[in-house]
Order: sequence, then structure tokens, then C-alpha cells
Amino acid sequence: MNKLRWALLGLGGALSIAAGFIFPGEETHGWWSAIPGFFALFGFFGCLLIIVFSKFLGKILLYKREDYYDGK
Amino acid sequence: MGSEANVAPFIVMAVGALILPFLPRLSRPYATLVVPLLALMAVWFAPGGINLTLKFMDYQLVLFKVDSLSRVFGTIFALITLIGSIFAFHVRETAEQAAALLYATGAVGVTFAGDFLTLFFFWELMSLPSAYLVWASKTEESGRAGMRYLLFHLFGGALLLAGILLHTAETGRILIEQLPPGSSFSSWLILAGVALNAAVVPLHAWLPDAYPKATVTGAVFLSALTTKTAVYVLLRIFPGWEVLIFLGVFMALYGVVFAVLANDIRGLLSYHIISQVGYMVAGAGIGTQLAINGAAAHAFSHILYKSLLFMGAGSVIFTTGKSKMTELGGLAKKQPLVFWLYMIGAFSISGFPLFNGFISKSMVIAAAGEAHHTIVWLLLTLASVGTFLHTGLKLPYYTWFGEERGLTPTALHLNMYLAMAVAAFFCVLFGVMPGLLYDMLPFSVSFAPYTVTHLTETAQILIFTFVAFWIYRKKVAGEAGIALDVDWFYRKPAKLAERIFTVNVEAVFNRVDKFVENFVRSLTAISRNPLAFFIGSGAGRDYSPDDYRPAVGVLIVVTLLCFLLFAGWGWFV
Repeated sequence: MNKLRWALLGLGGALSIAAGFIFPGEETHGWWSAIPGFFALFGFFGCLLIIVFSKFLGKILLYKREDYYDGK
Repeated sequence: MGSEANVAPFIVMAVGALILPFLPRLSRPYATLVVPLLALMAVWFAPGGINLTLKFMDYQLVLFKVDSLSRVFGTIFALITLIGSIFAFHVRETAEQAAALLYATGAVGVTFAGDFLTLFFFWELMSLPSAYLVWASKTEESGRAGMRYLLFHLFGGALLLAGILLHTAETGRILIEQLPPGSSFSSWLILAGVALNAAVVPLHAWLPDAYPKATVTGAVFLSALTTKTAVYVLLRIFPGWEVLIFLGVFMALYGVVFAVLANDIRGLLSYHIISQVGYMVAGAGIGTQLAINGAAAHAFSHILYKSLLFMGAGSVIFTTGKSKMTELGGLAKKQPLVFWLYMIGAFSISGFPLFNGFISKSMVIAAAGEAHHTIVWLLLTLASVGTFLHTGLKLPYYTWFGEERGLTPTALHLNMYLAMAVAAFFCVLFGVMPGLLYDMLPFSVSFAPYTVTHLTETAQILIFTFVAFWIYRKKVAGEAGIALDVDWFYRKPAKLAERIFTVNVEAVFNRVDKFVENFVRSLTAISRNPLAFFIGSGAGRDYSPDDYRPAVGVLIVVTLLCFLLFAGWGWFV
């Protein structure tokens, strides 16, 4: 990721949030649709939640050696 | 018999599969292209309604019935068989080519079946050829996984058949119809059989178990056909079953969670089949016109981009021999075309505007909103965050970027590039011109995907998911090893079951065997000379009556003695 790409991404992010302010979503899905920038937070924290929850589940329960089923 | 003017697509496919082995060897790959193309034409030119019936015992079977829903699915099944055959054009294994066509025969057969028996016949027809596509890898692992896959599907088929027989016995009807939610035990049995093929959690473990072990080309057919025929049947028979909404949402999130733990690239994609099919299952459960349209459209889109993703991942495996993210990396400069073709699939599944996932996934989600399932709406949106995270970011990052591992990929066949390009073309085409797909859908519902609100929401979600991924990208890296799934429940006890039912039984058998052998041996020994058993002499020799007779000398002596006694008696008297 070079500086130009980060700049473009930042611009895109800013534009999408700004658009959320200018064209507030109709409240068809729930109260959150009316909050500008809600989906930016949703994307960020949703992503985080998925990573943390899954890795936690893997660590406590699910991760096993490659030959788990072959061993005795 | 109905009108003979049209040919059922499954007949085209079946004839193709059966005559394939008898064609000249070098013409067979061409035949695998011509057959699905003809089947596609058969789908398009077939008039709506019942086109082929068959009298079977007391029932009138409907082998070929066309309506808008079956035509959408028939179209995409034939199209993907064509694309998959292009991808497999270099394959010279006749059995694999025939298996793919036979598998597609089952899929289109189910799609146009008008009665339950025909449906069951084609349903079962899919099992063995699809298992063969796993076995064709010819590794020990694929052999075992293929067998587990087959057993799983035979079990599902048994549930389906039991449900069908019970349904027919109860109602006397055999034609396919919508079953009212939760109405009878038989409909639950049918649902369970269908749900197994749709990889509904917890009946899904066969999918991520077998698909990563299939051949590079076979996995493309697998990713497209089995689960989506099941989705079709759900839409046909079970719309509005509320339980499907919950199962679908659970699938969508379950696949996402397990994809985090996957290390094998096709394993990750397999879990995202479960996740994506979850949207369709939920759509069937919502059951409104918009939801049914959305689920059908999403199945159509999904087949295109998922096969593209499997082709991309398959190309990496084909050219490097590696399939695990912990062993891949740094390939972007070495195979940029594969990377970008894969990324078109990734943009599509992630729901980027201008790609086909955007115009279909949003339909299902909008249907949830429209039906006031707000939590469902939110959870499905969360699942799409996970989809982008894995398929669009994690997999490509750790395969084509990430750590440089000094891999030198071999050349990829031209036909493989071509197949990916065709799939990529359709992903973009339907994304740019959604009307082409919407016009094929069963209900005429007006749905506009490109609204400012929807674009804004999507842009925010995608951009900030990317930011979160970039910050925490080291955390999602693949880890060597495997993650357990519900297959643990039958793979782990398999050892115990083996001990109980095989090892122990064998041991008992051996003991009984030995005992009987010893018994017989001693009985034989005794039988040679039973007298020896009682008097103790003569053992080891065969019985002979002479052994136990007094010798001739004794008789003579006794006789002489008698003579002497008589003589003596006469002398004295």
C-alpha cells in the first residue's frame, strides 16, 4: 500500500461518509439506517468482531494438528 | 408422451455422458463443450409447461416441466457445465469427463422434474459422479473423503426417499408441490434430505471435507451444482418455512467464522459456499416474491463467481502444487492474470458495485428488510463483511502477496485462462446490466440495486472492512493445522466404532474360530480310535478291530487246554 493508494482510500472513505450525511438512508431497515457513518463503524468493528471471535473459538476449541484424525 | 418437438436438457446431457467413452479420444474434450451448449439451447427453446411424461405403475410421472424458476436454474447449470468443461479441456481422463456430464445430468434433471420420484432419481444420480470427482485426485486422503462424502449423500437420499414415500402414501399425490410449513412428518423428512445437500448446518460437514480434496477441475462443478440444486428445491417446495430463515442466517455466519480458521485456500472457499448458500436458504425461508427472486438471482450470481474463485484457487494449486496459505505467497508478479481474474470473482462475492454479487445479494437482504426481519437484515450484512474479509482480502493477500516463498509457478493451460475469463465476463455483465438477470426471474418485481443509499452503505462497509483488515492482517494469517468441524462427531468416534464393530468383533471371531478348530482337531484325533479314549492304549493309531482281538495262538492254547482237560477227564472217569 503506497501513499497514493491510502490517499485514494481515505478520499473514498470520506466521500462515502459525507454522502451518508447528504443523503440520509430511509429508515427501512432499522433505526441505525438513519445514522450517518453507521456502516463505516459497522464494517470496521464487524470485521474486528469476526476475527477476534473466530480466532478465540479456534484457540480454545477447534485448532488441531494436521494429522489429528490420523493419530490414535 | 408430450410434445416431441423439444428435447429435455437432461437427455442431452445423459446421452453426451454415455456416448463420450465411445468417441475418438481426442474428440472427447470437444464433446464436453458441445453437450452443455446443446443442453443450454434445450433449456432456452423448451416451451413452458409439461413437455414429457411417463406412465410408471399407477402414477403419471412428469419428467420435464418448465417454468421461469426452473429455467433460471437450468440456464445457469448448463452454462456452468460449459465453463467448467472449458476449464477442464486439457483433462484426458475420460471417466472424469463423463462423471462431470453425468453429474450435470442429475442437476438439470432435478431442475425440470415435475414429480417427486423423478426428482429423487436425478438427485441420486448426482451422488456417485460427484464423489468420483473427489476420488479422481487419486490420493489416499481424497479416497477417504470421497467415501465420507458419498455415505453422507446416500444418507440424505434415504431421508428424501423416506419422506417422498410417506408423503405419497399419506396424500396419494406424487407431483411436486409447495408443502405448507411444518405440516407433516413426511415434509420434515424431505426437508432434511434437501437441507443436507444444501449444506445446512449441521448437515454441512461433507462440503468443506470433500471439496478441497477434489481435482482442480472437478471442484468447479462441485462448487456449482449440488448445493444450488438443493436451493432450487427449497425455493420450489419450501418457500415461507420460517425455520429456514434462522438456519440460513446461521449458515451465513457459521461459514464466515470457520473461514477465518481455514488454511487451505479451497477450504476457505468451501466455507464461503456455506455462507453464501445461507443467504439463499434465508431467502427461501422469507418466501416473499422479492425473497424468492433474490435467492434465485443470488444462486445464479453465486454459481458464476464461486466457480471463478474455485478456478482461480485451482490454478494456483495446479501451477504450484501448494494449497495452504502458510505455504503460499508472493505470486502476484508471477501470475498477475490469475490474480486479477480471481479478484473479479472476489469483488463479485463481496458485493462490489458493478459486479454481480452486488445486484443479487442486496435483493435477499432487502427482502429481509421489507419483511421486517431487521435482525436478519443486520446479521446478513455482517456476514457480507466477513465474506469480503476472507475471500476478497485474506485469501488473495496471503496467496499472491504476503510472504515471498520463492515459488515458481508452472504455466497454466490457455483453456483455463479462457474459462476464467468467460466466468469473469458474466460476473461483470450481470453487475453492469442487472436487467438481463432480473428479466429471467420468476416474479416481476421491480428492484433497483443502484440507489444512492445502497451505494453509500456498501462503500462505507467495504472501505472500513479493508482498513480493519489492514491493521489486523497478521491476526488473520492462516495457521498450519486443521480446524475441527461437526465432522468430528463422526470422524473421531469412527476409531471407537471401528474398535467396537471391527477390531473387537474380529477378535471374538478369531477366538471362536480357534476354539472350533481345536475342538474339531481333538474330535478328529479321538474319532481315529475312540476305544483308545476309554482304555488308554492304541492312541495315535487308526482303529482296527484286530488290535483288540486275542491272538490266534491264545485260541489254539485254549483249545488244546480244553482237549487236555476232556482227555484227562475221560482218563479218570
